[in-house]
Amino acid sequence: MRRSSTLPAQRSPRSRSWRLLPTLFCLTLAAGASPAAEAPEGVGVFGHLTQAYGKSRRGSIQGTSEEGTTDLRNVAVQLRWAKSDRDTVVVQLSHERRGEDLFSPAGDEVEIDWAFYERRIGVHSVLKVGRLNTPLGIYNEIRDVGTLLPFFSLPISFYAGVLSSAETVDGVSIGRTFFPRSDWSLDTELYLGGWDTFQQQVSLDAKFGLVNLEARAEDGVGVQIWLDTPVRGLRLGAGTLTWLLDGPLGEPGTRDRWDTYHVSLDAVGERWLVRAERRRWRFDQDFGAFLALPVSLRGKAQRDGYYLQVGVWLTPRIGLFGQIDHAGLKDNLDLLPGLENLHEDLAASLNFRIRPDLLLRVEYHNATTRLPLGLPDLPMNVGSDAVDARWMVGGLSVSF
Amino acid sequence: MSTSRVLALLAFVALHATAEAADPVVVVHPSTRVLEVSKAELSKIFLKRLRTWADGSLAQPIDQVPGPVREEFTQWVHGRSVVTIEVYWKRMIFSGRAVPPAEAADDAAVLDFVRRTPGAVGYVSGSAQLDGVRKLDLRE
Repeated sequence: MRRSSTLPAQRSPRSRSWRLLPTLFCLTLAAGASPAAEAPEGVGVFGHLTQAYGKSRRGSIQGTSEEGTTDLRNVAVQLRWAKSDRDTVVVQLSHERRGEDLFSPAGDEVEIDWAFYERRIGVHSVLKVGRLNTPLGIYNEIRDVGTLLPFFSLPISFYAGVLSSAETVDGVSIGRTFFPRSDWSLDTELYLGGWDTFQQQVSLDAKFGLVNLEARAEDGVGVQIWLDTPVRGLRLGAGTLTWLLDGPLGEPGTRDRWDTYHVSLDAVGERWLVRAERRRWRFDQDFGAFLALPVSLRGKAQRDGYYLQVGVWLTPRIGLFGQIDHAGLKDNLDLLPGLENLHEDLAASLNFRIRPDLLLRVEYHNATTRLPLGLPDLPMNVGSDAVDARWMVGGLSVSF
Repeated sequence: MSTSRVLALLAFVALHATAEAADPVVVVHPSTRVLEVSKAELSKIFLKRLRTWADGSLAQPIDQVPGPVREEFTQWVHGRSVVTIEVYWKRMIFSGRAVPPAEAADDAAVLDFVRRTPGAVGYVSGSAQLDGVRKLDLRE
């Protein structure tokens, strides 16, 4: 039986033990006291922690609020056991809070982020089985690691939470590197499996005018490829992912098909970076069920998004980054007019790298958006004009 | 010979000597059949993007703890700072892909590991005594 809830929803019915949280924090602090060590055969302990404060000028967006909130954090501890050169087991526990973020509903629990067994096959191939972090674009695998990100939150256009994508996959993957000695080496990864996700439904009683309904992505098949180039620090990527969504908004016995594909440019120098990604989703949707109408209005929707990030390290410690993030949505029934420009965000962040593993950051966003902001008079933000939204986030990230 | 020429010659010798002293020496286990590698290839081996030598045998890199030798090697081979490489390893770790090579405390520890481990490759300062290991030539 499906469970509906207003935001923030429980992220998944996985592990929900509050009692694990203090243990996780203690492990983080204890492991942070000394550098992580890794022997060819043995156990490695790693972790990261980000705590931030966010404040918006109007409404709630990306977890921020008008009153200001410190309910923005993530912490993870990774245990890595290398049984041999070929066999490795990786388990990562995490706790995440994103305030009242519409796209990343999260609970208070500590959950198993990943848990997989890795077997190296031959020299250039790797097989993984279990709950895997999904290789999708530049940031998906490191989406919570504050010390590695130029901004606290990832671009909405590409990484809009669990609703439209897969942070992890319960299944299997096979990766292979082709032409490893060439300047044009090619990394490929194919993965199969399913994951917990959500569907959203209009509910005028809810803060954002929407409720999240638990759903399951099944029969997912994805590919990610990265092409290294002779230009040091420049790589080009592309990928696709297709799955069937089994959720409460579909007719019993039917599943909606979702497809997404993307391209990436990742250029990182000693003192600068340029990153850009573009992504498109296509999916079937019963818009009648989405709008909570008593009729079925089956149609097709397409979401497009792109972002560009540029940055420069003015000194070895101080980095300045800029970002433009654009998302659009359209459907073949014209039930969602005006959403071709769903969200456009211009952002800047100032990073102060105290140490390689300790980063202080403050960022500012100025967006024109039709995303629900939870405004009392306009919860779903479906007025004729897009709303100006401005918010800032400041915080500290550490990893070890 | 004029004074200026003598000074220029002395300056050249001094610079050359400094460069010789600063360049780390890459060492491998004596059984390694590869005689030379490119910097790009060695960089990939130390970043674990390449796991074998050209003859197919397993490469086992060992790093040094942060210090002058590592800084010199990192800039020389990777063309990057130590901080940048550390950030690279954080990315590898937290994407669940790989962990960095083990770190040796000093030249002696590197030489000890390389001497004992077939396929091993490490680097030491130019002044280290290379007993029981073989120097690996690098090409651009």
